[in-house]
Amino acid sequence: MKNQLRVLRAERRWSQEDLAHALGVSRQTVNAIETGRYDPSLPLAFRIAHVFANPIEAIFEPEPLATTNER
Amino acid sequence: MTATRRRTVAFGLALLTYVLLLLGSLAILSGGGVTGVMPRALVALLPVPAAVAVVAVSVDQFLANDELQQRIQLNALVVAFLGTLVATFSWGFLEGVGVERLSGFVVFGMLIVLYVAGLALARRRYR
Repeated sequence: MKNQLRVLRAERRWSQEDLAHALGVSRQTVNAIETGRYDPSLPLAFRIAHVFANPIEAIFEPEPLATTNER
Repeated sequence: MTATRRRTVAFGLALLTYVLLLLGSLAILSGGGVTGVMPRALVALLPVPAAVAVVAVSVDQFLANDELQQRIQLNALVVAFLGTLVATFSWGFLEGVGVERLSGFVVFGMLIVLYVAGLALARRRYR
């Protein structure tokens, strides 16, 4: 899942460690989310939205769903 | 002291206690001072409470991990469990043709090795 975490973090001049501390997760988790290797759970996604004061939809962009023809 | 450091110290103390009790029980049993099945069994089981403490601290550490760290740990446990399952089943077939029986300590060692390997693979996946 694409996300704006890195951009939002850079705007605030936060390190990954700073964001990890604010979210209560490890720096590795923040890095994995930013690189798209890990999709956060719903509670964590809400915490991210709260920390950045942005709606979830503005931060995370889901992968396009396959259409019926493509399946 | 941070919570992480506190857990690390607790784990270290539990593990040290286990090792000391293990060495102590082995020394007592090999010394010949304790006779009879029940007394010798009790001495042999001396390290078990410390082993339980190690498990308790490990579970506490696991529950304190964030969601990705827990997923990585679970991935490693699956690799360790299934890998050990296949290995011990295969050895069981060999025992059917006369190969020496597998010791429980060897199985435990295999579990640890596969867990560490599984941990490395899982961490690499999310790097």
